[in-house]
Amino acid sequence: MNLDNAGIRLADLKQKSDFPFAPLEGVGPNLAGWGVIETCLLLPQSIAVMVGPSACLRHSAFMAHARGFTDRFYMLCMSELDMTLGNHLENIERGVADIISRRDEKVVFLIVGCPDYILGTDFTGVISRLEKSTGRRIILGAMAPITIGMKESPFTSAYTSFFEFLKDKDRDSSESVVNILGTFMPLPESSELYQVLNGAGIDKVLQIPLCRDLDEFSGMAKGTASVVMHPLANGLCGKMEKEMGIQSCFAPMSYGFSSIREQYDKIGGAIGCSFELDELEKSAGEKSVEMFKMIRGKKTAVGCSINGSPFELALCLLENGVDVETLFARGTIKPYEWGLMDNLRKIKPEIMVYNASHPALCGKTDPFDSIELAYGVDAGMYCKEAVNVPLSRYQEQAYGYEATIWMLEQTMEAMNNPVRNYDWIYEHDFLI
Amino acid sequence: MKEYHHLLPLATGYFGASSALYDFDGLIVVYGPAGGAWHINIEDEPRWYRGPATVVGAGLLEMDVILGNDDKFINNIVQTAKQLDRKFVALSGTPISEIIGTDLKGFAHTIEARTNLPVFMVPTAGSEPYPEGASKALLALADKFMDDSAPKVANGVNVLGAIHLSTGKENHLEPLYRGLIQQGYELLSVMSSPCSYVENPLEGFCRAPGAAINAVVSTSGIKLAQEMYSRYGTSFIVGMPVGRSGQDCFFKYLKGETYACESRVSGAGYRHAVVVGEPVLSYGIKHSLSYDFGIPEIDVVSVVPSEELFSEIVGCKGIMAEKGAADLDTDEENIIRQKMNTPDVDIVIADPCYKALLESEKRFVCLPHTAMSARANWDMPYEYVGEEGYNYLSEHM
Repeated sequence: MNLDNAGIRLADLKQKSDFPFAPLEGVGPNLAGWGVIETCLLLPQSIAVMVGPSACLRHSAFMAHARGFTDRFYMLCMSELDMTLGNHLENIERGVADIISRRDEKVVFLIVGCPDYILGTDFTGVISRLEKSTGRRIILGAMAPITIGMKESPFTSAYTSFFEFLKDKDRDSSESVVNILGTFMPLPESSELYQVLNGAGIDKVLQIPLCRDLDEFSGMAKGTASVVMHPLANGLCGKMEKEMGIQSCFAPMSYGFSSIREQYDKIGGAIGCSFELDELEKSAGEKSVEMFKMIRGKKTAVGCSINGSPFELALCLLENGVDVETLFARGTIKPYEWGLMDNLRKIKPEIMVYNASHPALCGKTDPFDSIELAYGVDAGMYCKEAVNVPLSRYQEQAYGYEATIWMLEQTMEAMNNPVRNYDWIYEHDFLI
Repeated sequence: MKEYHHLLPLATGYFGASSALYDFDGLIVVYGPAGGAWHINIEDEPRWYRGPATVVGAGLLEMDVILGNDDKFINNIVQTAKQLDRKFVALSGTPISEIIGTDLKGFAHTIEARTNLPVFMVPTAGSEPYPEGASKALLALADKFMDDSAPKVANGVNVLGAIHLSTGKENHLEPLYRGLIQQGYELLSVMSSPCSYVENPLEGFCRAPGAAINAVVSTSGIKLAQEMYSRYGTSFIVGMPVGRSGQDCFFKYLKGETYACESRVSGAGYRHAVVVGEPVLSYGIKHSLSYDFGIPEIDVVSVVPSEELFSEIVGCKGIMAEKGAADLDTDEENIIRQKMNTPDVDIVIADPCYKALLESEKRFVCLPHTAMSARANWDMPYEYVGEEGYNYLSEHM
């Protein structure tokens, strides 16, 4: 299959329909990212029970185990015939009740797969009886890839469902709380964003992965504003804004200094203050100059499994003299990325953008042999001669100018002590 | 209903079909949502890494199901199959195609007419044990490709059921292939892992009816062996030659001789073993534990159905499996947990995943089962066949 079918020059990629269509889903690393189970289990004091055919359960179980959720994840296996006939509801009710009797958590995510989604199984009765008999909160969710492309993905829906634990809470916002939404790995206490916010008088910052219990999580209801770092959280922050009046801004993790300043400006706008960033930018500039020099002119590819936007990172690299040649993307290019592409196109319109899941790409590594540096394990899979820098969202979460330094330090580390792409995928679970 | 917590549910039908067909240069389309094929590749099929597309997903979406967009998928499959230049196309069903009743057989006819490629469907779903899918896939491939007039080879042998979900990485069976060659056999076909003695796997498959005998090394190969006996009169044996005694027994059976079991106690010192895994391999392990290591009590937990091994099989010249009174067929986590934790059990041989179920200190010997732990133990060093298997067990017991 001709590789040209899988790629397009950036100059010609101006709207969604230009992106190369994959007639079948290849074996490319196209689905790396957030899973429904791990999203649900971000909520403290919760467990997940997934129900469905064992094939579907097996798929999700890999993700749950890889992310360390074994102790909070249960599976109830149903046959297709029982599901079609609706005979599984009684089993589910009994199974979930039994699991709950062995657990203390206050919230149970009941996750169904594509079959129940397509069949339109009505779980209302099961859930209401279980809530009544156990006193726990049961939230229905779907791990249903058949819904990809819907207005709100199952991941976003799961995250949005957290609103149930905020909506009735006290709304006294005198404490100046800032909520950070959309992170899976939390920002460390020493993070730059904390320092910047503290400098502006914000002394309380809440992140879901750090909330020990639902009480702490419900403190988000007192938020002055919410900072959204990943589109996953757009549904939740939308509800918080509309129904609770909590201002929010979408300020994704970025690598380029101009983008970083833009994100900080948005955060300042949402909170109602301005930040002093010159010193931070100057210091990061000084720290980064030598490291950028080390990679200047290197032929580079950027994939879509990195934390942040591949288009934004490519722009940052190009602006600093790195020779970005290739991008690997998914069909779900986010709205804010089209603007980044416009800027990228002005600098280097001949960059090739490939559909990471196109079957024509599978087994094709020779065309990418000249690539010296590959960001993202998906890019590393195709660029077998390159030094692979995963920048995975499962490594650690950085924000602001420290993200640029993190990216460069990771690059230096990978150049000095390269790790095989195979090992990133199979030993570190960075592809799921 | 089965409940899983610490363990993964085992691979199911379409995983088995993919495993059985992977090495024959075809295109396997898993007819379901995008995630299905992707997960097979990333977890259960580590052979995909940087390789050509073999298992691909149809990328079925909600509106396709509601609107019945069959033409769209037929066109996509035709386009991809033509451009990838494959030897055949296999369509494998998923829970979705099962529930909505997709006419995959009709799809296959249409795609075959439009591509001039051999195309077949494998009626898989999502809850059946993986050997069922593998068996169906091998039978469907045989219908399309086995050459009824293949020349007879007096010392020809086929290895059936060598699917990676049961037997792991290809190198684990290398001692078996080497042993067959040393015993004077010509290896015509291996179904389905790569083998250095069979240059072109699909050509070998076509020539398979010329073999004098079939060696079935997992339950996934039993149905095809029966079919080949019925069509070509090829008799077969069933067993995995684990350890020294297993190897002796295997080659005696292959020659149509009887095997007198002799205990060659090495003083392993264990009283009661539990072996958990695929039945043919597990009974092979039991054979070795019993006759190479002198363990008096060995219970086998077959995580996929084993009844075929113990029923009358026409054309079978020998089965290397001795059913014990306490043996079980189950993949249920709680039952396996109870079995492993029986107080007098002092050694467990199983996939490393099962270690999570142990509640007290017992000797645990890792024997990865790819259909359970997938790529997690794919690169782990272990052996089970012949002398290498004996040495591995000896070293770890």
